[in-house]
Amino acid sequence: MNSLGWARLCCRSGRSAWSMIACAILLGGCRTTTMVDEYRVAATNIATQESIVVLGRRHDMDKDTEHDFIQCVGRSLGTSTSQLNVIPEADFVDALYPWFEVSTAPMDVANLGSLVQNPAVAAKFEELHIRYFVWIDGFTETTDSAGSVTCVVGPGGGGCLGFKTWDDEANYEASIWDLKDISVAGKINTETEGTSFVPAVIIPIPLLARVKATACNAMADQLLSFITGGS
Amino acid sequence: MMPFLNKLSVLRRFVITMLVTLVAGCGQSLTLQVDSAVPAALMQTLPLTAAVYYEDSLRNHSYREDSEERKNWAINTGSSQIAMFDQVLASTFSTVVPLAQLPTADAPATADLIVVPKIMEMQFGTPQETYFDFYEAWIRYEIAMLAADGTPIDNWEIVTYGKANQKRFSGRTAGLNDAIELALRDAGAKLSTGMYKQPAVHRLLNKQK
Repeated sequence: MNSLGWARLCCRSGRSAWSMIACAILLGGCRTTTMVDEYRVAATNIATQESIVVLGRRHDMDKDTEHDFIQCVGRSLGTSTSQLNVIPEADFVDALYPWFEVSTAPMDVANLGSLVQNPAVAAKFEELHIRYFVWIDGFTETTDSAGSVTCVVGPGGGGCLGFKTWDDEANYEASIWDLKDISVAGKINTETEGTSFVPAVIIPIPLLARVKATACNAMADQLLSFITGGS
Repeated sequence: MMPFLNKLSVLRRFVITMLVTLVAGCGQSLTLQVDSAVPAALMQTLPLTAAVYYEDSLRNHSYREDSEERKNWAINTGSSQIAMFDQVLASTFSTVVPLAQLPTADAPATADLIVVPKIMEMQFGTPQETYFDFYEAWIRYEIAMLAADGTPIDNWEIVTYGKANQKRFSGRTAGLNDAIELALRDAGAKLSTGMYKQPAVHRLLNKQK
């Protein structure tokens, strides 16, 4: 059993707040685990003047892909050792308005092919030196929570007592489209989960699992390796 | 004894003030002024002159509701509506002229087409009501198209939608504002990409060939 499993078992079997606090401290706080899958369809490479754009999918009747996650992946790619030219999502969507809105964005590469037939859009792609589109679909959510922290304030002072824990899961899938060939170059899937704890004895001490940030780093690392990695 | 009673009275007033503030803060009253802008549309402009007339009901549009669930709601979007229509129509037609009043047979406008946008309906959804993790906004527009002499020639209905994730440490006002801004962007997108498909516009374009 990994540390996450022990943490869960420990925290769920704890009968009192004290035993759970002890568990959290013994286990050294929170843990995250990440799984990354890659599916390559075609070889990839990018010239120094070419750009990529990372976009979030927001068409489902479910939670939208978070803007901060897309910004995080774009920033990580842009500041990596390879220094890819990454166009920020908001700038790209505004520059291409109204073609990349929720109701108009191409849902597959065939639609991208049709969009490129529009001379105004094609000229803008050319101007921005776009080579790859990275469409990310998914979100981070809290899947389970237990315990509680109670805080009391009185004339003589105040304090908190209790223990709270929750599990977060981040599932994201990136689809990489090559504008040069109007084709799907590949897909990357990341699944991250983590458990956070807040033990409180007078002062609450949050031990937070940075699930979304871990998923962002894992996605950015894999994308970088995918795009610059070649075949 | 008296200083103690005075202190107790001050404490009681403080507690009552805090409770009143908390109740007011948690109340359902909502006043929202939406100030958003959409970018210029990346379009090949239609070779037509359009005149646009905004009724006061659109210029000063305010959604108002005073129900048990939505006490004293006032959502003002008029200025953002005008800004959106101005921006998108200017990117859609080669020439756009504003009209101060509707034309008549005796005083026709110098334009190929008169566009009169109207808001027919607005709806909102909040996480507290729907139990989803996002805020939603719907706007139903009717775009009346008139000939230069004011004769109605077409009506186009557009339904737009905006959805914004609920954020930690961010309230209902910010959530609804984000959803409305996205609904306005959607309106601009549907308007600019759908205009050339409208039969009245088609006829005018064919006439020019």
